[in-house]
Amino acid sequence: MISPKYASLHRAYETMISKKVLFIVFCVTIAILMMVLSVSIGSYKISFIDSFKVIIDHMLGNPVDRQDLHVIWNLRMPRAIMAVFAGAGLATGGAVMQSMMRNPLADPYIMGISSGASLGATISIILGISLIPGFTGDLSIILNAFLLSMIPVAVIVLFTKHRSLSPIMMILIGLSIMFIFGATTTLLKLLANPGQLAEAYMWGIGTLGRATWENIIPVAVLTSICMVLLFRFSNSLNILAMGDRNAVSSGVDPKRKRMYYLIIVSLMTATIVSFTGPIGFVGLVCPNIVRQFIGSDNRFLIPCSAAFGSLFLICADSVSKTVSVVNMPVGVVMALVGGPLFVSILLRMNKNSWA
Amino acid sequence: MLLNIDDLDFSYDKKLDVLNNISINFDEPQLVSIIGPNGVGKSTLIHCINRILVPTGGVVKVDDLDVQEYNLKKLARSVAYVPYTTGDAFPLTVIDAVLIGRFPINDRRPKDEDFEKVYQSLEALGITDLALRPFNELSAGQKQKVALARGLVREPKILLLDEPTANLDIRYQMEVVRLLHDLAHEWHMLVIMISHDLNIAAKFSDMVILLNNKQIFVVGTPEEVLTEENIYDVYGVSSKVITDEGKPHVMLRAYSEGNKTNMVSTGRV
Repeated sequence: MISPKYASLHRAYETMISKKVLFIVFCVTIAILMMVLSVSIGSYKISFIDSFKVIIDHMLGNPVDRQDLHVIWNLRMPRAIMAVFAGAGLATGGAVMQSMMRNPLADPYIMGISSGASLGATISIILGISLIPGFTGDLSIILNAFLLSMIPVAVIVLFTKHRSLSPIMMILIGLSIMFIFGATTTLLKLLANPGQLAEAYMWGIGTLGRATWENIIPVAVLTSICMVLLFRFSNSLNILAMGDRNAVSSGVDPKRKRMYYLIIVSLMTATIVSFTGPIGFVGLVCPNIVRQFIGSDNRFLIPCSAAFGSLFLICADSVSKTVSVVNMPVGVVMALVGGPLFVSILLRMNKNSWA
Repeated sequence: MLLNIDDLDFSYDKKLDVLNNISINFDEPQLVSIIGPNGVGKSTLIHCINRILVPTGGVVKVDDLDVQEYNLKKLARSVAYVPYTTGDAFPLTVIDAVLIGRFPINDRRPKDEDFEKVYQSLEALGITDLALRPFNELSAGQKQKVALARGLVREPKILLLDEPTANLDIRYQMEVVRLLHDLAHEWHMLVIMISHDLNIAAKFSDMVILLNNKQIFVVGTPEEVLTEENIYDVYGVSSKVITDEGKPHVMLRAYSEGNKTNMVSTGRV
């Protein structure tokens, strides 16, 4: 029980909390609406109502026009679901990385995850090598991408066996690995024929277009598990954001916890990136936009970033599908629309969400 | 024994000794000030108590158990620490920033009891009106008090503070240290603070530890520790110590002969 003399203060605090919860609910609702709406968006013209009918009829086992079914059920639905999970996962990863590295510029890609994935895919496309023997084609690309995107975190884990690493050292090691991977990818591309080069280039841009019912399953399962775990750690993340000395004296081992969370974030991001290619911007910018509205408490920042990341990626993908004269990649749309949006939010908010 | 430090040594890289043969015991709730020149190991001593640093020799025991044998969270329930700077990268509201201090006791959803303690701590420090403000919009002194509230909120047995008055004006320095003294006795805590202000330390401390040259130079009541001889031996500064309100008061001598020769001889001109 809160004693009566603090009752009014506590009510004011709870009002503030409910506003944050309300904002999260709002983001989730809009994200779900946009996901549904996005199924009817694309170069194949079909109305919102009709696309809905196709889904319902197919689920009930009624006969549906084959072409409608293919576009709606086999292409757009998985794509929308992939957007939801990829957006949520990347934005959550960004929020967690920023808190534990105590740096608003951190995101999962800063650890070299995306460049690792690109290198893995390039090895498969250009050299035809599968790092796990016996796989070919898309599966070999995905597995290669996943394996190489886990290398930076593996290196950091090995490093910490010998000496302790500060957040900024981790970031610098991640960045160095990113450049090494990038250079290797460039080197491989010099060996490629034009067909391979085009494929490797397209892979490196990042798209939701490769989503199928089969490959959204690992993404959905792993992203969900990792996001729930990270959300459960939001109190520890708040403590890590206060600095290592504060963390130790609050009963949190910062080195161990940071390593643990880094592995979870890497696993989640690597899974997403292996299937979509490197989609930038979400991880870095979404958490920072969300901070402007609900603050930096990870208990709210993590779920809200997830919802907002989904919403953001779905919207960007819808735009990229609408203007797809040249099959505009979602990453390009996001940066072109999201960049100015982010800057305008920053300038308008007139308050400082970073110390 | 509440806090028992026995033959403590600390060195970085096994070469540069920072602390040597430190032994001291505390059982009673009280306010203890650690004073001494820059770089003498005051912060290091405190960091060895709450396990930010691991001593290279000797033991530190809290409630008769070696701190190295504690689980970190369990140690945090007994020992709270308020650092010199609070470098929160992403500021929270004051309530949430203080609520974090309850983590060793409740790492899940905060309960009414947790909020009650937060409000009590804010009230004790007189910053209830800041409760809903974002931490980064506060002044340096206000931030210092929030950091203090964060240390108090889990009602530790031992509260360690690294220069708690560093950012405060004289009125708040007095207020905060008086409060630390009162809280030590009312909440039954052993409060250990590092201070550079000898007079504030003298006015409110029950016990003063004067460190010099990696070791405890002298420990005792303010009257026993703050003498003209001790201050000259440790700081190399001439002073006149008078008694005011029953406590020693140090007046520094700017131009006495001793000061000049000392400055020249140590090269600190």
